[in-house]
Amino acid sequence: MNEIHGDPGQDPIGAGFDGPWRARHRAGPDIHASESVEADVVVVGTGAGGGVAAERLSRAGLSVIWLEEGPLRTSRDFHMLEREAYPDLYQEAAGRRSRDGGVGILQGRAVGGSTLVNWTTSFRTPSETLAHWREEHGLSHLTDAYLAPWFAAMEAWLNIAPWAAAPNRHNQLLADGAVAQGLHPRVIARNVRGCWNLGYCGMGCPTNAKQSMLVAALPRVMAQGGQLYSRVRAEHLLRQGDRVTGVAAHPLDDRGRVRREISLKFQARHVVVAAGAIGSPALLLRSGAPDPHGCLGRRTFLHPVVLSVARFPDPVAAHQGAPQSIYVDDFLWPGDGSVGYKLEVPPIHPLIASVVMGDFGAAHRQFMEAFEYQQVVIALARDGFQPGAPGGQVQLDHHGDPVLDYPLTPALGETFRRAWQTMGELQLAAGARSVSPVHLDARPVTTAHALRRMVADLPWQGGRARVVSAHVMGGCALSPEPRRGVTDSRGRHHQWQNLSILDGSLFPTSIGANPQLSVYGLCAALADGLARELGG
Amino acid sequence: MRPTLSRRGFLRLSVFALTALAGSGAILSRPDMGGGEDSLSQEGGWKFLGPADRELISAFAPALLFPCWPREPAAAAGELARLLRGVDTAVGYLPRRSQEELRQLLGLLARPSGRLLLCAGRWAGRRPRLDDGSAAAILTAWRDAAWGVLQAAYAGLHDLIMAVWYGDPGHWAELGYSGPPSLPRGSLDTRGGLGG
Repeated sequence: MNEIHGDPGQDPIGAGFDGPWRARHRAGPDIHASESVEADVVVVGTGAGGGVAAERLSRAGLSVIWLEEGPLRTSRDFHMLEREAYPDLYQEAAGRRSRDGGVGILQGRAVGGSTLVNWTTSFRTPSETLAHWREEHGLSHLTDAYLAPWFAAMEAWLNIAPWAAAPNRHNQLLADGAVAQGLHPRVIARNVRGCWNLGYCGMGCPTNAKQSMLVAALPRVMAQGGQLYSRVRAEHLLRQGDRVTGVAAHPLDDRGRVRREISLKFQARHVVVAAGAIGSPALLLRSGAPDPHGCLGRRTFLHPVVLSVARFPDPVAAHQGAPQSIYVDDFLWPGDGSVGYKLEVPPIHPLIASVVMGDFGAAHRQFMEAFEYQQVVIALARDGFQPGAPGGQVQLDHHGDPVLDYPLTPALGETFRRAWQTMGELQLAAGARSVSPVHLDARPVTTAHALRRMVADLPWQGGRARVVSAHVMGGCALSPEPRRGVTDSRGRHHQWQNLSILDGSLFPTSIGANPQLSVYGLCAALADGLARELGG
Repeated sequence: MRPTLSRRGFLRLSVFALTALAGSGAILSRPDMGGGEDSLSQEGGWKFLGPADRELISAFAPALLFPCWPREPAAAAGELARLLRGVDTAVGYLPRRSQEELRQLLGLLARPSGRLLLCAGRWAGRRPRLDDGSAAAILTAWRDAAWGVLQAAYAGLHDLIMAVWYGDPGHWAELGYSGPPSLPRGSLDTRGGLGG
């Protein structure tokens, strides 16, 4: 299959499902009777992990059944409208929150998973992170040298390269402020081919320039005879003794509600769970998977994000152009034992901005009326590296739906305060008229001194500070020792046979960078090994 | 520090527990029925919001959206109708747990005992109408509450109502936002709307 380039007049994936692939796609709302299907492998999830896994396994000649909880949508469906995209393409209509409501979580839920709606930011796993994994988590084989060829292969496949066009003004202001503060802004690499520089990546790419798993992996899997089931929820794993034999599932209706009256059985020699770092532990929990050492669903990480908003004297138009093209890592690896953070900017669109601004009435409206003039910097905290930032835990509610308990900690709070100060000073240095942490108790200030006085007393708790996340990691950690992880170094479940986990839930800590390329690289390596073991 | 105690002590109490406190167990027995009793009436088609729910949202929306909520009654009625339809649709995409909690919250607020519990003296007994000043005072109290349940009530109403309002292209011009760019779509269907 030829490479797909950005072209708003073409929908090659939709055309594939109108034509040759039509009979091999079933959508939950159209399934009217219970059935049982067989293949070599069932892959649960179509995001970054499931995408590379299904692509590698089917390329090796194995027959693949591919399950996705969300709908199949293609470029013709992407109208760059928040009110359509959030309910259709995101978990919990983009309103997913941690158990106590303290952290809002943006996570994709459609064919392509979060890769369909992410902002295309691509980093290799930092060397410091891999070193920490080798030293503290026993993953001695995960060296830069071992992973480099896998990252290179993914970069070539997905056309990952530093953004060559000029950054939009929103990103440029991050760079300007950083330089003025003596910091070192750098250019972000993006997985795009023929990008139209629109700024609506988060609502599904309308041109297919984004090399998501929808665009890159799905055509290859379908060309190899793959069978796609969208709007189907994996309920639990089927097994005989400690041998996994498949997946029991239910179709969903067109609003994502489980249709329990219909049961689907997918039987296979091997099951790959790639439902993301909330969905994968949840599937294992629903299946009653053995967890003798209490590792399952624990140490789930979010890169908790705090925000700083700046009012500029002239328009910023933070919704326009490639959403993320500049980053600042000067605070990512502090030497004082505190939790480090990465600086970036998020795209700003009216609906999400109105929700993230937690106030109401006149204060809220004041912010919204200056919408075009606002610049927002975000700090992503690198959780999971210190005892003071141990992550959260995936649990099940009384429906069996997952909920993430993620307590914010004093160590994270200390980082939030540092980050609010850093971000505000940087924005003032870039020419902001006023700056404010995004926080119910904050107000706009015009000097670094006033900011310092305010931030010193600002509560860091999630009820007052706005804390969000777009990166969910961990919960099924890799570890050679069963006592410290859910899977072995190959991603195989420690206790059950014929079961692999291949997604971001494998990470023993957060990544310290936007995780998609880390998921691609690690899962490609592990899926290739699995394909050989299965004799594909 | 404070959060440890409040997380373990209070936040785990959900709106379900509150419902029992307020003695409105009857609502619990029909969590899926929602307020859909009028779905066959002339202005039917409501998936989640019943008449009492719609009244409650009408009571809080003008205060949340102040000062952009229209003063002119006909314009306000039009905005309200669109907002309620939008909320009704949006709730349908929330997970079961969130729908149930919203149902409990609205159910509680529809009862004098529930109002007493959640709004203290700001929404007295059987008074059906809430003036904007009282609504704003209640929202402020919820927003600033140490009790997670009240914070959740605030966050739920805030997020739903703001999302529906600012997701509506009719409300973009006043932000100076001109909406997404138009693209040369060729023969692709660009009619919009959520498919099945």
